[in-house]
Amino acid sequence: MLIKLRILTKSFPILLLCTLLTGCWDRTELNKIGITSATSIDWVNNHWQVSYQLVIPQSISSQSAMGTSNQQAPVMVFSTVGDSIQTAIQRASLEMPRTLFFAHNRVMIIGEDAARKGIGQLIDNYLRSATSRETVSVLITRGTGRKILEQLVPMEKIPGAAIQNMLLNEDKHNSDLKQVMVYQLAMSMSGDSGYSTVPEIFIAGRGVESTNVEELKSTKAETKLKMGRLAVFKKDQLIGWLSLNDGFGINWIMNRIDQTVLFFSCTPGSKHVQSAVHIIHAKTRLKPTQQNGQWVMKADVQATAQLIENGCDIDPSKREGIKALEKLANHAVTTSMQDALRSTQAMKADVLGFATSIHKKDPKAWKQMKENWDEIFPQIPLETTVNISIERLGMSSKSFVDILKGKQE
Amino acid sequence: MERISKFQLAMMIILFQIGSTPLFALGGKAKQDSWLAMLAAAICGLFLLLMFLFIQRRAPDKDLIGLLRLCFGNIIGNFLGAAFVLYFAYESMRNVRDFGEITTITLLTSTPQLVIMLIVVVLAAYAICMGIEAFCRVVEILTPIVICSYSALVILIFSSNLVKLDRLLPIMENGPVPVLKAAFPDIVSFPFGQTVVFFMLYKLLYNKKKFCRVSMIAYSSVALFLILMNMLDMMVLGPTLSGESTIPFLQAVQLIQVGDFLERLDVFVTLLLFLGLYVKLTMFYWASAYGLAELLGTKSKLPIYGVGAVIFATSFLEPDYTYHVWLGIEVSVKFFPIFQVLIPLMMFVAILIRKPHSPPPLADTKSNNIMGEETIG
Amino acid sequence: MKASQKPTIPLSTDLHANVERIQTRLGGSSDIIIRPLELNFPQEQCSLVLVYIDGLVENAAIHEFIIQPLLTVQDSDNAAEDYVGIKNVLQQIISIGELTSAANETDLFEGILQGHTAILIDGVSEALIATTCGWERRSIDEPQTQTVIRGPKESFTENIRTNTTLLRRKIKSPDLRFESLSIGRYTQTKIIITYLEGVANTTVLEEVKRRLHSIDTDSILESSYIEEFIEDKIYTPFPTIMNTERPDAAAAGILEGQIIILIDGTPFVLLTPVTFFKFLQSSEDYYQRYDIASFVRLIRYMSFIISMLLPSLYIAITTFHHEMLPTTLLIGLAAQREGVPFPALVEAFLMEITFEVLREAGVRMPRVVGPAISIVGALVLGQAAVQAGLVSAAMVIVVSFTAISNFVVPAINLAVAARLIRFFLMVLAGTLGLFGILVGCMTILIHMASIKSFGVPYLAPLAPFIKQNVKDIFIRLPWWRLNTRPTNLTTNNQRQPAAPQPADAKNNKS
Repeated sequence: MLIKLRILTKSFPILLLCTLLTGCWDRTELNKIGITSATSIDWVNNHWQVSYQLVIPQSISSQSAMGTSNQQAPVMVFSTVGDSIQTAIQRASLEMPRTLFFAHNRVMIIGEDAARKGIGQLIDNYLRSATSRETVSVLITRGTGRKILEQLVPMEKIPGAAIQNMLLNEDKHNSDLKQVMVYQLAMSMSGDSGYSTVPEIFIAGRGVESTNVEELKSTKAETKLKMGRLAVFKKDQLIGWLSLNDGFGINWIMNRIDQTVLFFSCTPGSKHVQSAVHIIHAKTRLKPTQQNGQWVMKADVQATAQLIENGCDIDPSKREGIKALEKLANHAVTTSMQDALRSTQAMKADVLGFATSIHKKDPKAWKQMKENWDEIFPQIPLETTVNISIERLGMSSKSFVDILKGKQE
Repeated sequence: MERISKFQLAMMIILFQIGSTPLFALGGKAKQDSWLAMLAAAICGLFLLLMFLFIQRRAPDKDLIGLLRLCFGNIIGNFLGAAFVLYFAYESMRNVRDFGEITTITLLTSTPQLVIMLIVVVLAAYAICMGIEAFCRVVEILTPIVICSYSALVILIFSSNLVKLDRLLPIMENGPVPVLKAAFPDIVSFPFGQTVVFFMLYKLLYNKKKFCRVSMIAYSSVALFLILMNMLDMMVLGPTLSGESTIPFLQAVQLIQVGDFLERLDVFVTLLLFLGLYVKLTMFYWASAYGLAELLGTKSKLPIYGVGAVIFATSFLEPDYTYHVWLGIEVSVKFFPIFQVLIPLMMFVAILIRKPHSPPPLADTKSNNIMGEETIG
Repeated sequence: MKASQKPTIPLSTDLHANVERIQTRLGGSSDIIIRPLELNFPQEQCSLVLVYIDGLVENAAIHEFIIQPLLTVQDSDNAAEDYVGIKNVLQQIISIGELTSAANETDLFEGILQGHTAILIDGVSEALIATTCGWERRSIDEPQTQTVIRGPKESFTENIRTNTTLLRRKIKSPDLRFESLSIGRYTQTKIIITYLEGVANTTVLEEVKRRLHSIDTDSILESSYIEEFIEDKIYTPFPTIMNTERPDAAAAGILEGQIIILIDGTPFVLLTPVTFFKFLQSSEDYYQRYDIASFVRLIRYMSFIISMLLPSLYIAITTFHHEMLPTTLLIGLAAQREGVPFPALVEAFLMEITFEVLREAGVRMPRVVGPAISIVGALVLGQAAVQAGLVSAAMVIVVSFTAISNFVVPAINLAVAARLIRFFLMVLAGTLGLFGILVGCMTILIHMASIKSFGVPYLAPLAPFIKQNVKDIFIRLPWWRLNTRPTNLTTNNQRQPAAPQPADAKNNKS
């Protein structure tokens, strides 16, 4: 009797194992998933319209032995409509032979109408779902997001990846528009000031849209994807737009400059840009201080740069030349920052992180200002000290234009 | 007689405390000061541990049931012993349920929780049937792996530029009161007060010299680690997001992007959490089964199966995740200090009365294998 | 029946009766030679009969050292009349090195069947047994299975005496002990227990002897029979006794405190007690420099884990956890899977079984045909299957790499364990994904932690952690740092004085 009990208990794990074979509940083969590379949300006719850009693996991978796969577009786009976002996603099973797989989704494009309505629900979806990534970049667009998804990009196979690469490229090398990921958006929306920015993408050019693979066979594309302005959100709704220059200034103030190229003119205040430096490192310290009961933000910028274009008649191989160029560069940055401050203050949108700085510095004062921040913010001045040091000149020293002028005389 | 070494004890304390703690944002009520709350609770836990060690030192060859009998006499001792057996089984059940919930949330969403929890309870029963010595060896191997993995994840988080120190500011914005309210009794009872389970283990050490020092060093290092992890969570996610996220560390890891291929590592975190949860639940299960066997005076394996069946069955009693969390945070945390603080306090007083002097240092006990003790610990 | 229980029938004093008895018992087989002799002593005639088995004996020895001296004996002084005398006389005449006597039938037959010559004396109820064994034996060759690039190229042979000689030549210490016994009712296989006195652990030695003595079986044809009788845990795929064909590996084991069991008839000797990590060490690690040896050892550990886990990981990640793959890899794999009929688990099983078949076939194939068939197997089965769309290319790569990693493990018995466990893990991976693999690995870990090899925990010195012994586990520290023997095997620790320095650099400068 006891032996039988022992045999039973010893064989129990094996029996358990056999029951597993009856159902593998979570198993999905690779050829049953639809890999989404980009999604977009629009608000159309009082419904949420979710569009998906699905990758077609055979036409991308070089493995397949079929020669005809070159004719097929690498992605396909379709949309579903619903009252809530998940309802819309659920409807996809009505027209799709595969289950949608969002883990490789790179980009989320929000249509303007949806943005004006409010994207809080969307953020909730992202945070709640275990499979969606919060590292998805968010972009906004003028019309509907679907049009962006349908556009093919010449250099890359997967347009979704291409858009994200474009964004990353801009983020790292140009620093006009910064990549905003869902979690960053969530943090800034729920932050002290409640204002956030999202970059814009749109289709530039007029003519036939590159939704056809045939279109890509020529050397020039008639329409292409391009990044544009900066959208400003109050809590979860779109309230306005800022220009690229404003974006640039904002990034200087918020210490978000990675690498960028700074243009400046030879005389301060002139619009005729002639020289440029490549900023390698930049750091801004933003400190709130009180002067006569008034809060003032002090921004202290330190940057190192390399001269890449010299159209002014300043000789950078001399100490004074360099100092002069640095002064011009400093002035350019200061102007940029003050312009950005003006634009954001006009909108009463504190996207510059002033609220958080003050909160961290003086929580008690913040508690009193919290209610009226929208009124207080436009009054706050910014004192800037910019110190750009041009460390290298590149391969030549004097300006070529200058040399030519010298030869003519 | 099974014996374990001091090194194994230290590893067990470390892995047990790490357990499922990175899972939760402890001290969420204190917002960005949660790490201070944890620090306060850790210090308090250290005092508790000192008290436990003091009690144990007076009677090094008795485990918890033995100590209870010694302090309060057989009848009350047995009654309290039974209460402790139930407490350990309940803790184990909570961990089993946690295990099932996390797996269903993150990894295997369609698999029925029944299967997952059954597998894990069977695995725990298997480990215990092989003996506590074998289980301690397993823990010895797992602990370095777990620590290395957490360190690797921390390094990756730092390399992804996700950490911003200033999210910890302002410190003590609302004064120390929220910090202390968050610390006591919540954090003290989970995880720092759970060291009460080690009462069952001390008796099995071969070399009873300096086990206090080993325990305290292990406890302090783990407490430091947990505080750092909490700070990390806060520095990456900020107080709002980490407050509303169910598994903040997982959320933080999901944001790692290094190079182009080191992304989406949350599966590793889930696996690490499994290892921690598994060790915790097996430890509680073993303590419960061992205590029951001692109360009943048997040497057979029946208590193991009995306790296992009870744990598995009761883990279904909670209908959903919200109930489970509510039960844990609101209800259980008010009860646990009875077992973790109150009864040990009474034991402390009782043992001072009954055994005013600690016994002379015992000779080292020989183990039943061929290893010489002078090389261990 | 155990050796101690055999009935002992004494020999009779009558020569003819004894010879009759031998003829009956051995059934008159044609290779038994019975040679009667007459000794001419001055006082009396002495009848002798020599019995031996042709083929087992060295004929020259019998002719020169037994028959010749007996026939030409001229001894006028020794007029022996009682049996003690005759025996002494014979012991003086017969010039064989080892001369023993047998008083009962068991010993007599044992002697004859082992290749000795039995000398039956009329009127004496004891027979003399002269050691004359000599038969065709294989010469010392290179080891077939455990080869090294640098190191001794001798291997054990089937003759136990050669083996003990090889060990004696490695360890020239008076502390080296050999204790022999015979096991097997029909085979009477000679087993020799070898150890180093003062270094080997006496408890383990006693245990080994006890287990060997309690074996009662028909035959012992190979060391694996003994292995299965004396090993600790029965239901485990992991081996707890190591075997080797190399005398240097055996000698190294003896010097660390292990106990070696030599078995007549097989060149594979058994080493015990062992831990898991010993199976992943090869003698080559000690003959190459420590840096390359450590690197290769790490690769071995990695390969062992790969050979167990790779197919399961592939199945788990591609069917359950698609988010872990980088996007481009995911798309490539997805493209490959289009048109493949089977789910990943089934595909993996098919390919693994195919590979096992190929491997078995490779072992059995005659040498001439070997390379051709293996090329056919690999290319045709692998490549063509992919092109036909039966399996995906990634799966072929995974299976081949797993198989190759399996060959890296130096001890075949551990490699077999990995092969078996692989299937179990694949099933778990196919049903529960990475969680299943984790559960499987935990089960294996718990199982390994509970195994003990003759009292030594299988996972020592990692668990329980013994600091001194870790010097030789994952990496090999240079010889001048390895100054203690592993403590789990022996308490006699000092191998050499504490950390002697290598030759001082200053002395080498000039």
